[in-house]
Amino acid sequence: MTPERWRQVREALHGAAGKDRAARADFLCEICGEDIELREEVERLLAALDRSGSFLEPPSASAPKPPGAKIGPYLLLEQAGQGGMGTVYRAVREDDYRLQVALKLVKAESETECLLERFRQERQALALLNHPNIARLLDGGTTADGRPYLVMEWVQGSPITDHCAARSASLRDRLGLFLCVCRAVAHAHANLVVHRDLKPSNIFITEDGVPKLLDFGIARILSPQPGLEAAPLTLAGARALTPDYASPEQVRGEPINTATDIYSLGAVLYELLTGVRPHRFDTRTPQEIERVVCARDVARPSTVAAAGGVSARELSGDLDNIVLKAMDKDPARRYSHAEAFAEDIRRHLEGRPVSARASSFQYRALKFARRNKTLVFTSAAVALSLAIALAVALREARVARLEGEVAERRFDLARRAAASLMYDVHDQIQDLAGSTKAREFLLRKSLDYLDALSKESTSSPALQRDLASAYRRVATLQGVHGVSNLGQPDAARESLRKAQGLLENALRSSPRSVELRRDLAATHREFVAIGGEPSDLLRHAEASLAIVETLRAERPDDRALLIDLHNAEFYMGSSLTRLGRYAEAIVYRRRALSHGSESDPANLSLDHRSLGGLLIQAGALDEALTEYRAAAAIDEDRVRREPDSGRARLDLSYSYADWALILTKLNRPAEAVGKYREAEELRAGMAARDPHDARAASGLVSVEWRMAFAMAKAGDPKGAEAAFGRAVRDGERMIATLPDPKTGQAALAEACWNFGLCYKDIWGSCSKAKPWLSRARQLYQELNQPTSRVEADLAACTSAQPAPATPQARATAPRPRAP
Amino acid sequence: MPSAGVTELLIDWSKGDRGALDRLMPLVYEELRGIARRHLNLEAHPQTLQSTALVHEAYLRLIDQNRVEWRDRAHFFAVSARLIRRILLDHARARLADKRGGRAHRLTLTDVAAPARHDVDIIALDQSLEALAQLDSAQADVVELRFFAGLTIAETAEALRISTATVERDWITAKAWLFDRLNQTDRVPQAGR
Repeated sequence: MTPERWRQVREALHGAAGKDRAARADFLCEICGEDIELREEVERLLAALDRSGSFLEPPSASAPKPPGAKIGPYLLLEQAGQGGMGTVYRAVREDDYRLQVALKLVKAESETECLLERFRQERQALALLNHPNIARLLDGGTTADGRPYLVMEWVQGSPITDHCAARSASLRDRLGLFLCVCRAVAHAHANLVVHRDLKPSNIFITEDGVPKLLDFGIARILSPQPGLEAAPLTLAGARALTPDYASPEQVRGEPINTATDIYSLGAVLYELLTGVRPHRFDTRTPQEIERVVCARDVARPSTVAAAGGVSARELSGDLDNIVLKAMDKDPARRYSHAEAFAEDIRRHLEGRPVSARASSFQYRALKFARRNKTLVFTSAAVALSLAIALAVALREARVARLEGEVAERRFDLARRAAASLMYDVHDQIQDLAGSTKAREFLLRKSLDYLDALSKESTSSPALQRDLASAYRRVATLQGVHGVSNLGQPDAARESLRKAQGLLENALRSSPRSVELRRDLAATHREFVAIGGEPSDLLRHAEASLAIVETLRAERPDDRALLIDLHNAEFYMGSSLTRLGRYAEAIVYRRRALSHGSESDPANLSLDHRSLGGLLIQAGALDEALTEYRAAAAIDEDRVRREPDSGRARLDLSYSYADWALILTKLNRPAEAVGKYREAEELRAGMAARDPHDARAASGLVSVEWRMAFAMAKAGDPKGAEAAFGRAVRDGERMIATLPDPKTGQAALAEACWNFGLCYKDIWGSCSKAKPWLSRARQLYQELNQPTSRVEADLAACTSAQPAPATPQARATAPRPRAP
Repeated sequence: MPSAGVTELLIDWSKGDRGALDRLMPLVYEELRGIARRHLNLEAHPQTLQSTALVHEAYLRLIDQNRVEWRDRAHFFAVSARLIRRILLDHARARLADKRGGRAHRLTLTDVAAPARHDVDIIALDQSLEALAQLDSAQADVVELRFFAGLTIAETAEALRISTATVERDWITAKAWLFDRLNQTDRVPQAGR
C-alpha cells in the first residue's frame, strides 16, 4: 500500500467508524464508488476496529494514577481507596499544600457530559449541606483525558464500626456517635438530599471523635438514569451498591427516597451494635441478593451479638425493636425521618418508652416531631418533581416508540414511580394534621398518570391493581368515615365503583391472586365505611366477609388475613347496626374483637367504641361504659406515643365524647361535661389545624351541642347557651368552607334540632325552641332526609301548653339524638 | 530526588531549545532503564507491567513538580515513549534469545494468569509500527505516545503540536490497521475462495 492509498483508506475508515451499521454501508457506497478494493480494505479494518476493544489503549484510564500525577489543580499524594464508582486519592491543591482533599476519579468515561451536567445541577443543593458532620463537596472537573472527578473535604479517620471496635466503645458511646450521624442525615434530608449509599465506610469518625459523613449526594450525581434525571427522588439505576446496607426498594431498582437512607442507617446501627452485618448472602448473584434483602427476615440484633459488639442483654427489647423498625422491608413502616429515629434512641438512652414496638402492624412511624410543616412541604416538592419526571418518561416512551423489553422496563418504571406517589408520599402524610389538600393533589396526580399509563399499554393486572389502589385512596380521601376527608360521599362511592370494576376485571385473568382478592374484599368494606343505603352496605359487608373466609380457608396461617377477618366482621357489625339489627351486630363486633390480636391499636379502640355504642342501644349501659373506658385508655396511649397524629387525637376525642354520652345517660351530667370538654378541646385543635377536614369539623359541632345538653342538665344554662352558639357557628362555617355542603348541613341540622329540644324540654320555652326546630326542618328538607321527627317536635311545641318560661326550670330528660 | 538540572533541560527544550533534548535524553534513558530493570525482573509480560507506570516513576524522580506545567510533562513523556519502546524491545529480544538458548525461563504468576488486556507481542508491534511509519509517520508517533507513554489524547496533541481531532482520527485508524495486521495469523481462511 502506498501512503496515498493509505490516506484514502484512512479518510474512509475514519468517516465510517463513527457511524452505525446501516449508515456505514451508505457512507462506504458513496465514498468508495466503484473502487471495490478500497471498500474491502476499509470493511476489513472496520471489522478489526470493532474487535480491537482495549487493544493498545493506554491503561491509565482504568489503572490507578501514581502519586505525583496531577489532576486539574490537584496533586495526588496517594491512593486512599477504591470503590465501585472509581478511585479515591488523597491530594493537595498545588497552590495550597496545606489543604488536603479527597479526589474521586470516576470510572465511567463515556458519561462525562451527563455527569458534569448533573454535577452542576447538584452543586447548589450540595452547597446547602453545610453541616459539621458532613464532608463538603468542594470541586469537580475533568482530567486532561476527559475523565470526570469530584473533590471533597479530606477526612482523616476510620469507619465508625472500626473506630468503635478498636476502642471497645461502650453502648452509650456507640449510640452517641450514631445520634450525631442521624442529625447529619436529617439535615441533608431537610435539604432534599438523599445519600443513597450510607455504609460504615462512608461514615468516618475523625481522630478527634467527630463523625463525618462522606459522599453525600455523590451517588445521585454518579447514577445515570436518563429521562428521570430531574427527579430528586432518583431511581437506583446502575445498582452499584453495597448489598449489606441496601434497602429492598434499592435492590429492586425502585424509586428511592429518604426512607432508603433510614434503612441503611438501621443496617449500620445493626453492625455497630452486634459486630456483624445484618444479612448473610450465600452467593453474591443479583437473585440471591434480592431474595435475601427483600424476603428474608433480619435476625434480631440481640440474637447475633458477637465479640465486636455489645452484649445481647443490652440489645434485647428496645434496641432490637428500634433497629428492626428502621430496617423494615416496607418503607412506610420505617421511621418517617432520621430525626424520629434519633428521638427513639434518645428515649432509650433516657429510659423513656420508645415508639418502635414489636409486631406493630400498621405503620405508625409518624413522628414528625418538630419538622411537621417542613416535611409536608418537602413531600409536596418531591411529589411535584416526580410528577415532572413522569411526564418526561411518558413523553419519551411515546416519542421514541420504544420497543420490546426497553419499553416494558420504561413502562414499569413509570408505573412504579406513579404508584410511589400514593404509596410512599401520600401514605406518609396521611395521618398528618393539615395534609388533606396536599393528599388530594398527590392522589389526583398519581391517578392521572396511572390513567395515562393504562392508555399507553394493554392493561396488566399489576397496573389495574395500582389504578384500583389509587381510586380507593381517592375514595378514602373523598369521604370515608373515620379518616380525615373532604366530605364528598357521592364522589367517594363513584371512585370505589371504579376500583371494584378494575379489580374484578383483573381477577378474570388471574382469579387465584391473593392480593387482588384481598384488595377486592377491602374495597367492599370501604363501601360500608363511606355509608349509604343500609341494605347495600350489608351486601358489601357480606361480600367482603365471604372473600376473606375463603382466603382464610386456603391460607390458615396467614396473619395478615386475620386482620382482614377482623375488619370484615367489624363492618358486618356496622351494616347490621344501620339496619337496626343490634343483637346480630353485637355478635359480629364481639367476634371482631376476638380476632383483633394482630390489629392496630387504632382499630381496637374503634372496636371497643362501636361495641359500646351497640350496648347502649341494647340498654346495657354499664357494659358500654367498660368498653368506652377501654377505648379511651388505648387512645390516650396512642396520643402519647404519636403526639402529631391527627387520627389518634380524633379517636381519643370520640372515646371521650362517647364516654361522656354514657355518663349523661347514667344521669351523671357534671362528670359528662368534664369529658366533653376534653373532647371539644381536642377537636377544636384538629379543626383549626386543617379547615378542610370535614370529619374534624363535624365532630366538633357534635361534641359542642352534646356538651351544651349536658351543661343544661347539670344546671349551667349560660354555659349551655354558649356551647350551643359555638355549635351553630361552627356548623355554618362548615357549609361555607367545605366543597360539599351536605356534611355541614347535616351537622348544623343536628345542632339546631337539639338546641330547640333543649329550649322545649329542659327550659320549657317553646317560643325559643320553634325557630331552631324550623331551621332544622329546613336543613333536613334540603338534604332530602325525613323530617317527621322534627315535625312532631314542632307540633308538640305548637299545641303544648306554655311551660315555665325560665331556662332554669328543669323538665324531662333531654333527647340528644344518637349518631 | 528531582534534579534541578533535568527540570531545567525539560523546560528549555519545551521552549524550543533543541540542544536541551540531546542532553536530556541520556539522563531520562538511564533512569528509565533502571526502573524498568527492577520491574522486568518480576514481570514476564511487558504490557502488564504498564509502561506508563515506568514513565511516571521516572518523571517523579527526575523532574521538580513545582516548576513545570502540564505541557512540559507531555513533552517529557513524549521523550520517554521512544525510550521505553527501546527498552521493552531489548528486553523482549533478550528473553526470546534466552528461550532459544534453552536457558530456564522464570515463570511468574502473570504468565499463568489470563491477562485482562490484549496480549501484545512487543517485537511484532515494533515491526508493524515501523511499517505504519512508512505509510504515515504521524500515526506511528501517536501510537508510540499513547501506548508506550500512556499519554491522553490531549497530551498527545500537545506533545505533537496537532489538534485533538487529528490525534483521535489517527489513533482510531492506526489502531484498526495494527490490530488487523497483528491478528492476521489468527484468521481462518475462508472456504471455497
